[in-house]
Amino acid sequence: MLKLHPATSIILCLLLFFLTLLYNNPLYIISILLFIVIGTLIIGERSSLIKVLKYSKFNIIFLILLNPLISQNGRTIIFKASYVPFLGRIKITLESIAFGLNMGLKLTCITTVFVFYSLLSERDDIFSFFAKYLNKLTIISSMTINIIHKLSIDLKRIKEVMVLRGVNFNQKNIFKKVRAVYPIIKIIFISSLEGSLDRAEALHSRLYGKAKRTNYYILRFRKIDYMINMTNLLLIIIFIISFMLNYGDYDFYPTLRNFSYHELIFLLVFNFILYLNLLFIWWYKKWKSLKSEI
Amino acid sequence: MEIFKIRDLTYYYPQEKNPALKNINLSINEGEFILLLGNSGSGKTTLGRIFNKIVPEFYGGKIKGNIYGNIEVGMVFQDPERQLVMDKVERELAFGLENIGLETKYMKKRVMETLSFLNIDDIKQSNTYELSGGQKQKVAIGAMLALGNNFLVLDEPTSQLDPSSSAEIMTILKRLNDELGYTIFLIEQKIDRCFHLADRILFMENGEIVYDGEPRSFISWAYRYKVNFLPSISHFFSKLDIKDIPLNIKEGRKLIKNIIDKNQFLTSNKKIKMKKSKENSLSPIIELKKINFSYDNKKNVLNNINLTIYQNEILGLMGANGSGKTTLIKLIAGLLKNFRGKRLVNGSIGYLSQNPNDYLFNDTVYEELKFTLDNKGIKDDRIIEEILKQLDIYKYKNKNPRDLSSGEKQRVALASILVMRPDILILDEPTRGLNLELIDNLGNILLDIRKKETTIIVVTHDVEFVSKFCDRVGLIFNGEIAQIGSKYEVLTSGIYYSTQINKLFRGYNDFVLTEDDAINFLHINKGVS
Repeated sequence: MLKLHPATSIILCLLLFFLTLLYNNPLYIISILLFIVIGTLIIGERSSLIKVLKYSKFNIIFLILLNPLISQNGRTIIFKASYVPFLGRIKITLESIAFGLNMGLKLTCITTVFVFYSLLSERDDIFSFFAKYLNKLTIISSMTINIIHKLSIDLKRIKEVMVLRGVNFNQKNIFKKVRAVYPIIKIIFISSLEGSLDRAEALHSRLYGKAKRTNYYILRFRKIDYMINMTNLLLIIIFIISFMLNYGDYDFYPTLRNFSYHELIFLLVFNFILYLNLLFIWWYKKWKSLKSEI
Repeated sequence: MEIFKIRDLTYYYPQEKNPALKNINLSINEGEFILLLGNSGSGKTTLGRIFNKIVPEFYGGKIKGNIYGNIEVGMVFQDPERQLVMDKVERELAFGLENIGLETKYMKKRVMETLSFLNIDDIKQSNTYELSGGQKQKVAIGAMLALGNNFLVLDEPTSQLDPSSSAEIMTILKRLNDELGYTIFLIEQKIDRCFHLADRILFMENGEIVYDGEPRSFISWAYRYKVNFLPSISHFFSKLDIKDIPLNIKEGRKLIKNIIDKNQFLTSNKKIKMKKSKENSLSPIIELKKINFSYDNKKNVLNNINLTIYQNEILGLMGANGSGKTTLIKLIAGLLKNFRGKRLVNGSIGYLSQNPNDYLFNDTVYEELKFTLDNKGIKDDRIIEEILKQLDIYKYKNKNPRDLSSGEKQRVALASILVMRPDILILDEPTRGLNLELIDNLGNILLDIRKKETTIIVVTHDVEFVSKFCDRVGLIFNGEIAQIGSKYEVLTSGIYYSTQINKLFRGYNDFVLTEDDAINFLHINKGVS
């Protein structure tokens, strides 16, 4: 866990999130994904990363399989069938598989960026940061996070109870399966309402929202925050330029094209700036000097 | 000095026809230690909520009468989970101070002082969600202390804690009252731990305060009106027709010594009517051999467990919070798969978890029981009425189970399991949040169920319950069974894990465990003075 200023981690992660959404070029997407993976490993949260990647690989496989069935675009035909039950005539192309893979990587970037965000700043700091400016929104988000966390625990517990009351969750018939899950959903729904009320009562009794809040730890920008925000600014500039020069875009159809020399040079510049952040994070973990204020 | 005054207060929750509080008149003086008692649903929690204005500011509803007093009141709830907001202990203590806008330099001082007073400096950087139940409750109390509230309202703060953690919390409250002059308003069901600490007792019934006075006069009042809210020691002595009834073990032992000296009783450790263990005559229904279990291949939660449970016995499992009791019964119930060792279970299992709300979702009590029967493919539904009558909830047959009181909800959840006629019944913390009367009812129900050839396993922190209703007891610490044997063997050799009556007679006869044993002991020794 790093202790960046919440504003720094929010800006960095929002930037990664929007770059992933707006860039279509697989080289940029791979760069962003690698950045998040290496960053998470430097912070020392290998287990959290493995957990996310374990589920992401299924998403990637699913999109690689699904896209060629939906999209009939592309010229490099790998497989062709005049009739497949339910699907009719299908044509599987290399381009549609590549597009599916790219979408899968984008989805992985988006899920991992949330994990990365949770590792950059302490949750208590983020709560204090938002509570200072957005009182009501923070109370709502705190309650929501609490409910989600509680839901997963409740779900497991209630399922165990229902199994011992004879409910069979391994039904093959979809209607029977829904019927089996119905009691759990109903109990969870009622418990969630009660749980959120409890949380709100606890916050009320702790005088939340009664006066203008102060902070136990005064959140100050440190050297690391200035350095990361400087690269964030450069990344925004790079993004605007790449957008104007159409470097972040990539057309998968009708055929996969080669990357131009200029495009690759620009990617190097993009990566140099992006990966500077990794260097800062590594320094921050190693040296105390970056933890101090300017 | 009077710090709070309530006059003719009546309060209705929104959309409720019956008042939760009726004609409450109450004055609270600075530095008092008040213990509020009463059955579930009598209005105790609502009255507690009045002091820090959660009622009516947060809950709404109709209120009549006057409340005088403007001091800030800290409230500690039953479930420590629900009141902790921040991740780190230090930040949790500071949370309230941040909310009132205190300057950082004063905040630091308050937080450090609180950490030091509660002796929890070592966990200040720990995550609140990783703490034990006792530690969480200490942090919740600390959060109120740091706020500078010297009037604390605590709503059953020890109901989810093991005996040693509960004792620690009570010691803290006593210190706050004695050393710092804090006013303590404690709502409790486990009277043994706190009755002797109180200066004043309030007793509520149907939203009204029906008793307000000193603890000693409460004992005679409760005995006269057959109110089952006396600590074990006082309850025992009140049966002996003694004038000055002791409130705690210290006073009780003095009196016992006088009785014994006067009558020249034998003080040998002769076992009195000790029930012999039936282990040899009964056949095993559950056998666990060299069981090891861990969640996510991390630290072992169960270590080399060897356990045999016999047919038709009631086994109590006790131990500290997080010692592995719930994991063990889940493993017995077949809910956990990846364990090492041998598990042999010869019969069907019914399992009642800690929270009865996990069972209740149907519109009527009848449908709730029918749901289990349908799942199990049992066509004959005559058993539903039989079980409802056995548990004395037949009158609620057509009511929504969620509208019932906590004790009634628990009986409905139990009924939803019993309709399966399980050979083995497992109950996890069934006495949590129940008053003495309901606990006794539950115990008698279990004895009744046992008559129908059912083996019962009860996980509990309630030593008195185990001493009354169990045959054998197992103590679990750090995933290991530290001791297992007859309740007389286990509960008469412990420090915390023994009954109040045993502590009273220790040294005179170590094998006195229950009130009946004690009376028996005194009668064997030629009567009582």
